[in-house]
Amino acid sequence: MAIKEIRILPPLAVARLGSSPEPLENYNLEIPDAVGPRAIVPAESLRLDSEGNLRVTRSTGPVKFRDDKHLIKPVAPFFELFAQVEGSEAWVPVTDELLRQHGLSIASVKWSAHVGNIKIHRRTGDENDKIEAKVGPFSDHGVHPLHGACHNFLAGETVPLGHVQFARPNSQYPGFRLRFTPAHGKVYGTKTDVPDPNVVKVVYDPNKGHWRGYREPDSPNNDYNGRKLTNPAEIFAGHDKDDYHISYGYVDDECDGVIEVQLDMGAKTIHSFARVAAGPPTFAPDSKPVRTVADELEQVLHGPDAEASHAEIEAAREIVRRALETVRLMNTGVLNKGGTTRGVGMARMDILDVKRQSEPIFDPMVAESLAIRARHERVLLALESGSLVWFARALREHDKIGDLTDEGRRKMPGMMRNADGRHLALTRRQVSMIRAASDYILKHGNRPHDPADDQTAAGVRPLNLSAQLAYRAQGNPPNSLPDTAISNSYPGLEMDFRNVWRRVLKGIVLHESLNFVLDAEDPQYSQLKGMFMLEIAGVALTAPITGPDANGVVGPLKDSFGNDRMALEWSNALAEVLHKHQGEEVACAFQSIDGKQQVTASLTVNHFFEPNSALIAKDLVEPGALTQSLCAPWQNDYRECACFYWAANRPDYVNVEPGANGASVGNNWMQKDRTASTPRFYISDDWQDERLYSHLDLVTNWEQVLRFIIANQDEPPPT
Amino acid sequence: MAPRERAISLLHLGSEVEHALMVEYLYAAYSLNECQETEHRRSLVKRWRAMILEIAREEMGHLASVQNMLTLIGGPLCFEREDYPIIDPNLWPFPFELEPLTKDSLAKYVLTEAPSDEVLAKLHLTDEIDQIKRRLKRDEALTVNRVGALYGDILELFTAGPMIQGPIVRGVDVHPFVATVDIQADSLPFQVDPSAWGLGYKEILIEVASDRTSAWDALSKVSIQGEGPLTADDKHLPAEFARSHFGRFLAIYREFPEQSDWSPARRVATNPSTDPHVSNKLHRLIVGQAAPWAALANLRYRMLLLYLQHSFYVEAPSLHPTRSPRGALVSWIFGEMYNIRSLSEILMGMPLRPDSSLMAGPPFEQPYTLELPPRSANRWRAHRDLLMASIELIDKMLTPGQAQERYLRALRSADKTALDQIEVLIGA
Repeated sequence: MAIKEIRILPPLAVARLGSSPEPLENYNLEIPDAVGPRAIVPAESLRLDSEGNLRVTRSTGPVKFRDDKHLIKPVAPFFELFAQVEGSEAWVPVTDELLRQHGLSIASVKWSAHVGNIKIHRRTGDENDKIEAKVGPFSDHGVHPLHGACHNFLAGETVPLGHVQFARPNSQYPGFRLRFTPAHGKVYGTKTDVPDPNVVKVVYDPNKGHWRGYREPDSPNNDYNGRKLTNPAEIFAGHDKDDYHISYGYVDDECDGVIEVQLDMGAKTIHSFARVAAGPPTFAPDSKPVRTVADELEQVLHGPDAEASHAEIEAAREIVRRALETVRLMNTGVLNKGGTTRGVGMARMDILDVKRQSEPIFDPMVAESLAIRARHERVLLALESGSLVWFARALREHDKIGDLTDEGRRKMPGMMRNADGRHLALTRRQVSMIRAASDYILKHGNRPHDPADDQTAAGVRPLNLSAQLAYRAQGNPPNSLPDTAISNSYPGLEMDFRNVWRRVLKGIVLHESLNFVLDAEDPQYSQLKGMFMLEIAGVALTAPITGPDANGVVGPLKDSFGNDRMALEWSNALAEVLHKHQGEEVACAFQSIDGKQQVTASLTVNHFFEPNSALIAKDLVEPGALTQSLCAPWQNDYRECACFYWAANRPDYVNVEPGANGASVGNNWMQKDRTASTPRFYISDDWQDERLYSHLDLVTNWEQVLRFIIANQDEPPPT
Repeated sequence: MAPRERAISLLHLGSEVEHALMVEYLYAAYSLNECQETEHRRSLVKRWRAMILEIAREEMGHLASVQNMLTLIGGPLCFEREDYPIIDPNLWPFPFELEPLTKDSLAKYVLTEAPSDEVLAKLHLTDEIDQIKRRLKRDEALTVNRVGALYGDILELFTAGPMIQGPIVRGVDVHPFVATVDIQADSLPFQVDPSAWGLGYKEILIEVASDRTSAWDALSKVSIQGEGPLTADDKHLPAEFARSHFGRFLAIYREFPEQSDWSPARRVATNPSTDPHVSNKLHRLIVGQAAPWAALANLRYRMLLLYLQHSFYVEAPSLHPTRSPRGALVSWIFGEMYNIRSLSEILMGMPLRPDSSLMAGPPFEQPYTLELPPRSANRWRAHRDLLMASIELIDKMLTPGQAQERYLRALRSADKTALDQIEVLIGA
């Protein structure tokens, strides 16, 4: 029986930057207390030396996220190779023995990697601004650095984007695996007359490219150039002048791309690949975000509607637990406020974006952090008892995100931002799972948590696609999984997942976060370039924006372009279309920017995954595309973002405890002075406040100043 | 009685009625068994349960609204239930009873919430309601009084007379009403605000008031949500009828099967009790596995009522609204509502006694007092004591590997978090 197919698992892994030479050890997250923090418990780790030799280790003490020099240990995920043999549907690990049985050897397996950082290109549009690194194919076990090269770099300069290494199989670990180790999280710069002290090295040539000095307007025009900008725009390091934001010309070492493998069987060669994205660490590693890349992928895989099953009960609990983990680290009292001063969240954005009446989202009393936390704990308690999941009606519907009335804004999740810039909605599948859990309980009665329902760590047989999606290779810590990568991308942290939708229709390239056609790759669609897509297969891609205006009169609200409808984020808007029409032609309706021209066209919906897999199709996203619209450098986002809605990964409110007046007290995660004796006073976000870390503090020294939050407590400050 | 005192006494009665109905409706809703044989029956029961729970939530809103009106005229709050003596038995709907939902109990609820005879006639429901009355007289020898009558009396006390304000002047033919001087606009910060409670959901009606007109409007809205239109010439008659508690209970009554057909409700006990000294044969003592759970349910019920009461003592701050314990109290109130629901579900899945075919249920027993101490720190101490009692009870109940172990541990953890917060408040 011949080997018919090979597959790399996991299909998508998240790597996390850090400059320690020692990768982060493996651990498991356990739930000793249903409403308390998850426990980080050491697990078996795989150490890989420079010769490719594997050995197993396991900490006896607490998991350390830093080494002895206080450097952050990177998350360097392993990718395992599996094969399917004719006559069987099972996926078995590829080993020396398996290859020998088929007349092959380890030399028959060759790996390669292709990663990219095309953030500059996303802004400038210059192909020569793409940074890419390729290695392989190789079969040896040495370290293969990924040197990110760019035409617009100074001669001979590259940006290290990490490295890959094929582990040498042994008797204890006979399976074939490759490790991806990300870069260190450094920031590089453009050659200037006066050296820039904020960068580790200059790489960009200002005589070749125009990244330094690139600018975006504060108020873009309603034309192609204005609409093609990233959303949000102006999220690169730079300075402001004359209503423009102007780039310093910085380059970071995030990347994303593919790990590829080929098996040369003589008569034919078969291939597989997997994806990796390298982003910042999860600074609250015992917490998970409420909406993640895994949720998006599950929705594409299975559609927006969940079936009632017992698994959905645990899924509903997990969603609420993640919501609790997020609100624990958010200063909801501050984020709830209206007003237009910096440092406040969605209430502020509703005023700035569509001139909604200035008022808090919730009654300020109930939005207080400890009160919100208590509310979430009690909802989770109710779910723990097996009680009906009755709060589904409190959830925001995906097509009602433009409802900015009091009632609309108070839907759940509250005070957080969606991928389209408005209030967060869960994926349709997540909402459906919660409803399905309720239906299941109604049919079968209450059933409290059964420990057998808990997900196991690595070792799940990857038989079905959901299991493959969630597959955790041996030695990989949980924060390498897609369920720790945020997906309410605006723009995102580990990746801007919205970029997967750009080529959802064959022949055109859509804006990652707007219903706007950026390009036509098929000339027959050239007229669609620069038009808005209003409808696909009968599904509207926009929703009305309504709410009280500055005078309190409820009605349509308009954005800065004068539109009273907003683009829905792709993931939810396209959920039904992807579920029903992949590979099929669908009717799409387009309209010109000025609204005068209407066009309908039939376009084919691309397949999202490679056939029979949970692997995002190669043609859908090129290397570098998943991270292209993130902040440049990513450190900018930790200071830039005023909405703090990724608190489970990028905390906001830390060291929280009850205050004498019943409300909470604590510190801003960006406060410089945070020790056990620091007064628990939250300094509101303000770029000018010297008590808070600045953009450049993060660019130069993020690894030392940003601290891990474990069990809601600060790690000790750097000495 | 002076008009204000009469208003307070009737509002107290109203509060006790709303409280009693809320608890009875909750019990009835929880008793419904959605694990039915056919999809059609499951669908029916699911819809009835949702409707009755919604009505119960609205009764909670009515209870809060009545407290707001008491605050408005400076009366003491009332969280008691069926407190003796009942000042006017004709105004009390029916004897308090926790029972599974049956056609007979539905009949009681329909009649309790029914509008006036005049409105019934306008809705062409006179005969149907008479039939329901006859049923109850036949089956339970019971006469049910309309809650609407109570609100009618209260509304009259908030309706100013044509000329004279204040106490009754002998010889002048005017009805007594609450003096304007006794309607305290500055009580507003002490009233429960709907936005803090309802999270913006419009169907949870919590009314605040600052003057006579808004008080009248508040009380009439509460009444309309309960019984429907106040008068036969109400131009919104059909819509208000459909949305009212009366309309919704009537709709369920019409669909509900007779006892001999099929049983939408579980065989839960009527009036379960944890009190071994209760000698009333209408009460069923809970013994065995369910007993500590029933005790825990009573404790959480008491905590709910005390948090609710305490929130009226904490002024809603106008400056720095986040620096107030009121938000915590509101969160804990909702938390206890969720807990009561969870515990009710658990109890109704346990036998009343080891040898009984009846299932247990939440007793909703009233403690020796629902009074809060006068000093602020001691009010927090009262909550502290209940949390400590809960933790102690949970520690006794916890058995490794038991079905609800995770829930109990999580509840204990949440209680400890609240306790930490309260300790700080006591110290402050």
